Amino acid sequence: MKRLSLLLSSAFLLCLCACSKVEYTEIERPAYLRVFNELNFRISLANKDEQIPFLTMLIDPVVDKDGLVTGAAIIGDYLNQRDTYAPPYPSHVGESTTKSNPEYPGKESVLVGPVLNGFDLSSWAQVPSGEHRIMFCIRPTNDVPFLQLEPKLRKIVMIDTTLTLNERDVYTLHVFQKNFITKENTVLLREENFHKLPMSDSMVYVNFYNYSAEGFWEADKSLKQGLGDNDNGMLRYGMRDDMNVWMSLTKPFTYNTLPGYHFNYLANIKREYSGKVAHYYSFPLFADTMSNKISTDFMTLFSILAPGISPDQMPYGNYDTESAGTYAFLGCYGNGQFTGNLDLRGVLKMPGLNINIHSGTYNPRTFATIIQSRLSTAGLT
Amino acid sequence: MVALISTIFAACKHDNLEVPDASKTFRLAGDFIRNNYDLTMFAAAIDYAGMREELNSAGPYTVFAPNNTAFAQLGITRASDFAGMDKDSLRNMLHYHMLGRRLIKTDVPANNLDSRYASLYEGREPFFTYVAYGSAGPAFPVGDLYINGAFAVKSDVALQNGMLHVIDKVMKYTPGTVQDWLNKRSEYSVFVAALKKFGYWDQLAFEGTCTVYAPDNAALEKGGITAEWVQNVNVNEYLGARLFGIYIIPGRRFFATDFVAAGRLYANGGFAGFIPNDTYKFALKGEKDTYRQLPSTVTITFTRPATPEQPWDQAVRDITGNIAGRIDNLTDNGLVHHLPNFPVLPNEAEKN
Repeated sequence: MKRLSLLLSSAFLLCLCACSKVEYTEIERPAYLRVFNELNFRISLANKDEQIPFLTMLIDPVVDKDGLVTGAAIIGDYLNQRDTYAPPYPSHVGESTTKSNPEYPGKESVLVGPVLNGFDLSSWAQVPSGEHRIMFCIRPTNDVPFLQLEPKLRKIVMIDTTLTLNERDVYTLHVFQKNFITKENTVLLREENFHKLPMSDSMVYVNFYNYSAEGFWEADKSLKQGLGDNDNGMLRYGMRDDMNVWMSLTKPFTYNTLPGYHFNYLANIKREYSGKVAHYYSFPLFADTMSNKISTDFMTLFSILAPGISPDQMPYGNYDTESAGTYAFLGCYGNGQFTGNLDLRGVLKMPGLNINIHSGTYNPRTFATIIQSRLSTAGLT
Repeated sequence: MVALISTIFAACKHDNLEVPDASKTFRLAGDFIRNNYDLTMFAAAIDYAGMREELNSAGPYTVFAPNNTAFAQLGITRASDFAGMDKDSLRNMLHYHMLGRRLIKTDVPANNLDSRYASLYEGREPFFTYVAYGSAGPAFPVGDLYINGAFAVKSDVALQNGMLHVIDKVMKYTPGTVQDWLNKRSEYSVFVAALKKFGYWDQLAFEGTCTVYAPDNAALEKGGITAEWVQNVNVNEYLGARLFGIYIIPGRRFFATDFVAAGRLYANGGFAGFIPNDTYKFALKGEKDTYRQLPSTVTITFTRPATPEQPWDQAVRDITGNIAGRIDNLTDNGLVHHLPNFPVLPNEAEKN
């Protein structure tokens, strides 16, 4: 009897619990949006009248009659310059101690995208599809939320435009400098298609965009002081508008290229502003025929040269910085923080195109990636 | 026993604890300044200009109060030194040191050079720079506030009717152009004559901004440039850009403390480039010991560029403007720093 009453009362309790209503946040007919602040210039004495590129993104802002923003449907605050490498998952969430956000949604606690056709969209925020007014305001680099800033500081609107987002499409939005001389800034909305392509998990894919500011590579070197740092290698001086990319795969920290992957012509990149997705180039993950097909380790080197220059007859010596934009160099390996005894001329170090990680019974096991390389004024991802 | 008990009870007696009224403990701006030993000259200026009542009114105000050291840089060491001054222009100067709002240091956008706030002098806006943290990152706070080349030696003093910051330099703002400023001062007459002769004078009346390093007559005379020399010189024999163009940095506005702030912010507090229309270079820097609160200085360097034989730039001469009262003179279209010496000799600018 005692047991029965206990059972009954717990059943009653359970019933009560079942009545609690959980309100799930839901966005009907969402589009998936990821936003980057690519204004990767630095302020110095030479350009001190420019504003620090620290932004607040406002989607569907509420503006009063004085032009003052008093609210917005979606706010992406503390939008700092992007990190050089932006992985598909919000990697900086757990390790950050500041409010500054290298991308939107990034650290923001908002609804993010699902796994779509095998692609984890947890770095893409869900936003209602349809037409939106979108504003980017310059904000001071402090911890005060945008709407609590004094009115004077809420009025510096950099970009005010309208975008249309389609339901369940994946977008990246880029804010960048369009003209290095006039300092004109702009936004570019790119509708991604990687989730619609028949990609294989045994191939590595890479594509290239050159969103550099107009007039950057032509500009005098003295004007590029403070732009990027030495880690950006030759790319910090910019590259020409029409460049060829040659790819080599090597054993880590050696000049021994894998058979068949020595200065292979890969792509041509032209500087352009368009929302068009660049062509994805691919090569097999296990390009190293000696590997055990479970894990493989290689460096990917991209020599970027002006048309007419062959990588076999590279005219530039070590530490040469006077190439007038005809030469740039990317090295991709490990987590991008590599040091080695290999003398890579003016290289920009980026994470590898293969991911080696403990998986199941294999340690390590190699996974392929899809890399979008964005080359702009000073830096790359 | 009774006495003992009564003593114990007596010991238990407490007076009512009076919590001070927060608004009563802060003084009004005028009273605070008058009662501060380091602000006696500022207080004397306020009294002479008849502004005490204004400073004791409701406000809110933010006062940038130059300390006595700042006035001493201008040769003002006694209250009576204000006696001969024009009251209206003194009032304007004092209003330029006041904002019609409460501004604490952290209100100024962090790490931004030249934020502007309207002063009470017809809304004219001084330049504010707040260095919250330097190139080492936010974990290493700095917290320096600079206004028009002055350094806030003490900031965020709460007043009943506002906020007070003590600065180590009187902000020297003169309405008008750089031309007007130089014309009014006879000690720059040779410099002015030379600029006119070499065709650099007109640009000092243009809108926009520039920074002028102005050597006075005594400085130029050390290099053999006198009024007579300017009168007789054949302009075609000299590279005007190098000889006099070096003194004018067009399109730039550099207070002495801008170099200091940029040094903190970007670990690069210098500015260099080619002298416009010349093959030689100039380099600028400014220094200030903010810890010991020493006056700031500005330096201009005349530099010979690298040649194949000597593959590095070589400084020919550098001149430091170290008279604190005579640098950071702001006008509506530029900034003038006084130079006590000359960077370029005439024979270094001769055409071959």
